[in-house]
Amino acid sequence: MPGELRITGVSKRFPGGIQALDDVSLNVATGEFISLLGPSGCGKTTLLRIVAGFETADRGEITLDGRRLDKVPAYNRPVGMVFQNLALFPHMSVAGNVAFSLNVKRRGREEVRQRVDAALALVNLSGYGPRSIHQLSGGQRQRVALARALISRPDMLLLDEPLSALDLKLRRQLQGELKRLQRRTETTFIFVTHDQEEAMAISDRIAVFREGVIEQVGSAQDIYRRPASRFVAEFVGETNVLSAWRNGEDVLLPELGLTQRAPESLASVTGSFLLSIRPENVSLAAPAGEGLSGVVRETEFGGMTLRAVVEVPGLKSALRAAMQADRATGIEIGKRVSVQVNLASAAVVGGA
Amino acid sequence: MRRTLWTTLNWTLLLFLPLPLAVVAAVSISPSRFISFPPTGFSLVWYQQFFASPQWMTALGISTGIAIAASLISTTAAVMAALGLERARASTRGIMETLILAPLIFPHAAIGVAIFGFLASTYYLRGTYWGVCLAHVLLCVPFAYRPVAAAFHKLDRSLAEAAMNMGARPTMILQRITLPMVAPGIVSALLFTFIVSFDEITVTLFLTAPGITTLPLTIYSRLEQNADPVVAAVSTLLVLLTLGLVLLLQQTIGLELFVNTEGDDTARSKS
Amino acid sequence: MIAPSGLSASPLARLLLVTPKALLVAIFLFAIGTVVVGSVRDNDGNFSLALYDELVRSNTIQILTWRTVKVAGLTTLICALIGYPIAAFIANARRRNLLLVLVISPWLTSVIVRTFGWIVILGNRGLLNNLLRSLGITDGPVRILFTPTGTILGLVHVLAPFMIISILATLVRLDRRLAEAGMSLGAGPFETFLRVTFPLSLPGVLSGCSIVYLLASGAIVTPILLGGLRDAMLGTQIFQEIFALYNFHRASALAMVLLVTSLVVVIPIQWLDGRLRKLSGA
Repeated sequence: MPGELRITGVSKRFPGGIQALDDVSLNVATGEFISLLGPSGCGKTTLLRIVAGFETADRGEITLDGRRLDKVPAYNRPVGMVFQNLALFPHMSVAGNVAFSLNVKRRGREEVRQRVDAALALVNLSGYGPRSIHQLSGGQRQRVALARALISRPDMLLLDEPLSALDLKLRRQLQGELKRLQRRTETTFIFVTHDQEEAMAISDRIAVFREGVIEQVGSAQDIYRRPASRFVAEFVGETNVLSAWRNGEDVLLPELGLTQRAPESLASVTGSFLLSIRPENVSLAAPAGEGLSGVVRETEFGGMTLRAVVEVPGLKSALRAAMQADRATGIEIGKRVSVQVNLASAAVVGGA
Repeated sequence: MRRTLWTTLNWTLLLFLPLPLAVVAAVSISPSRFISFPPTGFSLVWYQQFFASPQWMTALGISTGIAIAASLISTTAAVMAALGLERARASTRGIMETLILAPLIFPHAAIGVAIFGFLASTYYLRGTYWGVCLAHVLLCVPFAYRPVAAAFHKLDRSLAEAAMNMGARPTMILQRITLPMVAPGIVSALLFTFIVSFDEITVTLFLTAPGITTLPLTIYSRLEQNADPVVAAVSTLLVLLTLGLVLLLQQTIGLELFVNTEGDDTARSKS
Repeated sequence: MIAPSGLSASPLARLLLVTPKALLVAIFLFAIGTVVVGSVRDNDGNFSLALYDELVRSNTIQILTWRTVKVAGLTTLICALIGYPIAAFIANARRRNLLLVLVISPWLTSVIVRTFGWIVILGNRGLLNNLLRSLGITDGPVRILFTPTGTILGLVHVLAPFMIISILATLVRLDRRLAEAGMSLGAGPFETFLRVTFPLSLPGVLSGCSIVYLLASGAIVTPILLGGLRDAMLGTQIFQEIFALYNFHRASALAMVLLVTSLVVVIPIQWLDGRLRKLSGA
């Protein structure tokens, strides 16, 4: 049974002074689909390449199943990899590419043939064996790369932003296929991406990276609803970050001039702090007499939802709101609206 | 262990390349009248003799003159041809380019006979420097065309369109945008053809006539008779000249040009 | 749609621009024509296939041709064998530019200079013999000069840089990730080289081989100075025919033989090269 991957205290500095990773630790459970998420240059790809064996860490260790992985050369690690540009061998057919790892191990021709057929069937490319890789579409080449990496049944599959070159629809389709594939083969998938929607859609857990450090690890729900820091709150989805004061039983939001009863979730928080309030917790309605109001500056229709940016006195950057489109009558640019903020789902993302 | 073996093997092979040149250089500074190695002392007397000798100096001047002429003529023709073929249909351009590059697939001995035959049948070119110059130009044509064509090929049409959009006329676009961008290609064509012509000997051998000589030809005839150390001095100077040009190229344009030009028969020179 | 250079010129103007080059091409082809024509004429200017007849019957020309093919072939082989490791070494080296300078400089020096160097080294009183004598390995001088060995040595030295540059150009353009992919699939360094890097670098090797073969078979200076006139090659014989024997027609015929034998070798190599490139998706 393939075991747990433990990354402990890994640091890496590149010549030129860039600290790509700074004391990074992460445990990946068997059979889990975990995404490494973050903006460019945050270190996620570097960590992946260290696990693959193409870079060495300056400090720290990596164990798989209790055994040191980082001492093993790349070609002996039970780890498969799908590269960003796929790195399919141009001088081999689809079958040649897929069979590569078996040919290296000098497997018998019959066995190779059977396993290649099975691998191609797994990715819905049955019969494509004899084709040249240059005749394939982007999505098909993706699948060849997957089949190639999975045929030798590695303990773990590393994917380096494999879908970034594809258009939106294709990407969505392949995200689904990846997820199904992962569940079917019960292989641990470590998936690097900068697209937070993608990460949330397919991962069991997400590790959010920022400048060489992991800011938070958790399920998509955890990260979205209970972001650990301002960076995570703002990177994953949209949010409004507001300063807040605890005032007895109430919570005061000075920038909005709003005072509300503190909800259960904020019962134990005292002093001053920062709150992350997602747009879906900011509701707009026709102007009522009293209460907070503002002027709609921008709207964005997205089929199911309507997003709006509302200018509110006292707030430097405007407030973002989101609601169901068919409930959004009267929300138009230039119109005055009343604003209500639901603090129950707000998350504390910093002491002030 | 295996790594050091690999490294040593390669360094040995690599040093094998400049070895004869180093030997020649050593011979050139030896005061001994006979060609001998190792050098018996240090003396620049052979270099002095070279610069003092009218025969050598004439040969040097002729080689330089022909090289400059061949370089300018072939490069100019190449630039004009590249411009002319810009809008041509792909098939036409393909045929034309194959023809321009044709000299590259002919063995030099055959080319020598061919040009000899050609010049022999034209009265006024036979036995003159213009004949030799023409021969060199013919040999240089492919070497001028390659870098120039590659540079033109890489031109981005949208740059010219942007300039036009901002009011520039065609001649101005040519002057301010196109030519500066193609300049590296032109410069390497000039340098390369200069070297090709200056060093040319195999074909030039067929064009010897009384009074006609180039620097490499003079070296050759000296070697045939009785090599004296002045030849070593000349050779060393040529090597230093080449080294200087290579370093110059590297500083200005970068050596990638030799390694990266599309098609690997970039590197066909003289033999 | 404007031209990439921005030049707006009529088709006629463009045609005129190409004229100088076209003229030069025409002259070149005409010159080749004189050789073709010259090979089927005899000394009186009449049409005659006597020379080709001699070619088919005569032993001498056949021996000559065969020797040329052998020498050129061996040179090509040796250049490939020593050129590939050097190219691979340079491709991975950090101080690549320095190494390139080492490789390119001899290449840009005239062949006469390089051959001269070998004369000094290989002569009876040359460097090599002195070295061998002082080490006590031989008594009398070892004859390398004026043998085919000397020619091959000289040719290899002169032509190796072409091979190196050709292979290097291909290696440098290889995607590094392909080797990493090979390793991620379990192939060690040597296996990765064998299965991934080498096959993809073949076009460069083939290109290099065709250049080297072409230049070796058509060489004159190096074979004359290092190999002597006794074991002549086609190139040296051609030269003899014109300047010692004043027989242009014979020289033309030999030139045709040279041309044909080179093309017979070079064209298939180029074709193979083209196929390989297409296979690897150029």
